Amino acid sequence: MCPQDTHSTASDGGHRPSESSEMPVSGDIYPTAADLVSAEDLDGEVCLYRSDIDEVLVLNTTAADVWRLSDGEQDLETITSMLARAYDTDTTSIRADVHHVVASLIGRGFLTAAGR
Amino acid sequence: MSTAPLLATLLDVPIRIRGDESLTTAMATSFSALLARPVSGHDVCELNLDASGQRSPSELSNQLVTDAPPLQVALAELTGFALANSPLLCVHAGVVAGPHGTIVIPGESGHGKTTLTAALVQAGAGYLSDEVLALDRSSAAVIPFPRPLALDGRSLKLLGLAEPVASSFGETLIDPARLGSLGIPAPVSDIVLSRRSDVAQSLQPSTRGQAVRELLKHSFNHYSDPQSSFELVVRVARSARVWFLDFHNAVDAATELTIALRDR
Repeated sequence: MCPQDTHSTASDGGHRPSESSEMPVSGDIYPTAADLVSAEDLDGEVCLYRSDIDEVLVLNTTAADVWRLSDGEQDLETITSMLARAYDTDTTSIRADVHHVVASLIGRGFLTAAGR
Repeated sequence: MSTAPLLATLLDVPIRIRGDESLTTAMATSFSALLARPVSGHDVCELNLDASGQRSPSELSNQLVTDAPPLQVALAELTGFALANSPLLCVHAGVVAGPHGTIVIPGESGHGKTTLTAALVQAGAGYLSDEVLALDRSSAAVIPFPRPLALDGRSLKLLGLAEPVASSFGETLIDPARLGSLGIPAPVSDIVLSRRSDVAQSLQPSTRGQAVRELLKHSFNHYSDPQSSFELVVRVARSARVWFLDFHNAVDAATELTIALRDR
């Protein structure tokens, strides 16, 4: 899994929160799409748009899988387990990458982390 | 001396252009393709140009206003005025009519899209614009904006065009008719993301997600309705093939594109 393949370009010339704004996330959060985010599936990629800050983010197929499961219905640990099963691997080997994708999307305002 | 105004619809903006007689006469001749669409309706925007081609207040850089011939200043003013008032989604791009629909080459100024557009027209594509992909926001129809092409000496030489009048300014306006024919607009069939580079020329398939990002990145006016603009470029990208072109020589690139885009 290569969540680093997420692509981001702000349409206003590149202004966006830096990677340093990314905060670690825990497995018990329930990630879900933030308000004002539009998502479109395009050939396996997911194209996200935040109209409030005019930022487009194109997720590769694996990051897109994380996004699709981030619907507020399952916590991050469950999402990690579901992806591990889908990719026929163990949760330990993908946990850091999944957490990184979610943390990055939260840091950029595309996901919010609801607790329960 | 003032004369009868020019009337034309540009980017769905009806415009009445008034100015110095020699300038408007030259514009009528040199911008004939651009000014071909007549005005209908009554809400006509007024554009007044002085003898230097400038309007007041001008949003052009002082460098352009000081150095450029009046016709080039007028073209820049006219383009800026139409873009500022257009209800269409306008994206900075070269646009030509290809065998299966409209071919779009988004990109900023200076990256070679005008030269590539000109080379494609010489290779048989129909000219639609060297500057603006204009899309109707509800139908996604392509609206032509066939400006004269502003080419520098190096591009003119590459394209085999003798410079008609030596210009002390960096660019010369070329009538599209010197390159080939005007295109008939059709739905967007191909989006070519491109980059000038010194590496070997290559044309590879790219993704529709990248096309959406590039079209929005190079949009002039999506900020007026960002959500519907996003939905429109997604709609356009869904029905198009997307390519990534690394190129150094625009003529060679146009040849490769012409062959590659011929096939479905």
